[in-house]
Amino acid sequence: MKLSRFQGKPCPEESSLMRSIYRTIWEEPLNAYDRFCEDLRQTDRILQKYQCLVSDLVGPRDYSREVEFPPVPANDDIAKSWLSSRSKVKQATRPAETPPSLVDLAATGEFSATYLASLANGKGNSVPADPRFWICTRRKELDNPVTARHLITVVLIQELFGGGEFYVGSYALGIYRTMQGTLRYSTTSSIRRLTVFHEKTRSRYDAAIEWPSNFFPRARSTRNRSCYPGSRASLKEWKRVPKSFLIFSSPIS
Amino acid sequence: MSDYSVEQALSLERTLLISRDDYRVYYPRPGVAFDPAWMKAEDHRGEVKDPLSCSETKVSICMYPALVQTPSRELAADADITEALTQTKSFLPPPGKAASPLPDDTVISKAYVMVD
Repeated sequence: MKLSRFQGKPCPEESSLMRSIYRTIWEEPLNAYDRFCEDLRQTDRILQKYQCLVSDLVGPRDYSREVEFPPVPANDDIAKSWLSSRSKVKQATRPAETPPSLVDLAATGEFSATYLASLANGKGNSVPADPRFWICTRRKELDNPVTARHLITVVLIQELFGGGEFYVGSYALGIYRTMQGTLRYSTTSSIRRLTVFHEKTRSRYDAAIEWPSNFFPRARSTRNRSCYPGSRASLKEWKRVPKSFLIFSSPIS
Repeated sequence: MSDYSVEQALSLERTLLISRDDYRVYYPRPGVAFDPAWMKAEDHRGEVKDPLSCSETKVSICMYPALVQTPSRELAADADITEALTQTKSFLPPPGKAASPLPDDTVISKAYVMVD
């Protein structure tokens, strides 16, 4: 197997994959060949990522090269990242010992569904509702790990994918940390801490937005920051991306 | 929740946002029939249940939504440039559209639900 020889050792991801392959053969010999091939394909994808990363960092730059759209991400990579967020939500709440009543579940689920529907209705022409106020109206549900997990997920998805803007993406960090810090014990008093913590986080991220006066003039004058990063950290990250990628969500023919 | 995990979530958002394909986040509404094609049932401990045992059940609550890849819409010939901006890209199904994935869609990750 081809391995990158960084300082004579395989990178950590490759070590993890080798262990995965070992487990595949040892623990599940049935269909081992197919699973082995899938592991090899995954290894190739990781190696390709590393090569692209190294090439971007230290490789020669061809400034006359035509800008291309980013490659379509692999579905299994997306699924892995998607489920990773779910596992963090589960870790943020204590295990449920007893299931909540079906009536409570249905009421909470219907409440969230209505909220998401209204969010989709207002998308694009109004500011997304602040999830702090929305989630604070559900104190009773936050005391139960199952419904709390559901509400955290709704807030997280709204922060990440409800607005379609990087501007709100920076709030995900704050709300996510807040959830982890306060809902682990799921007490009613955590609501107050949640609000205070989120206020601090929000002000810190607002302060972190330092827009050069003539860099993205539209971003300062309007709310349409969708094509621009919303914080110093993301700005640093996005500076590595060709600017033509930033504004278009699909190729223009 | 580590910083790395947050970065990973934000990275996923950005990856999907600038992808050529469109992606949708589907929340099964309470009361809809359990559909194993895009749902997984779990109990209150978070353990996945056998889908065959849930065939006649209905969704009580969605614990984590499904992520679905859908064919990207083609821009009209006279489309305004703003229609190609990321700000118009929507992950939530638009109102009035189907509340479940369509046959042409590809389910990237199934929704986790609790059933009655």
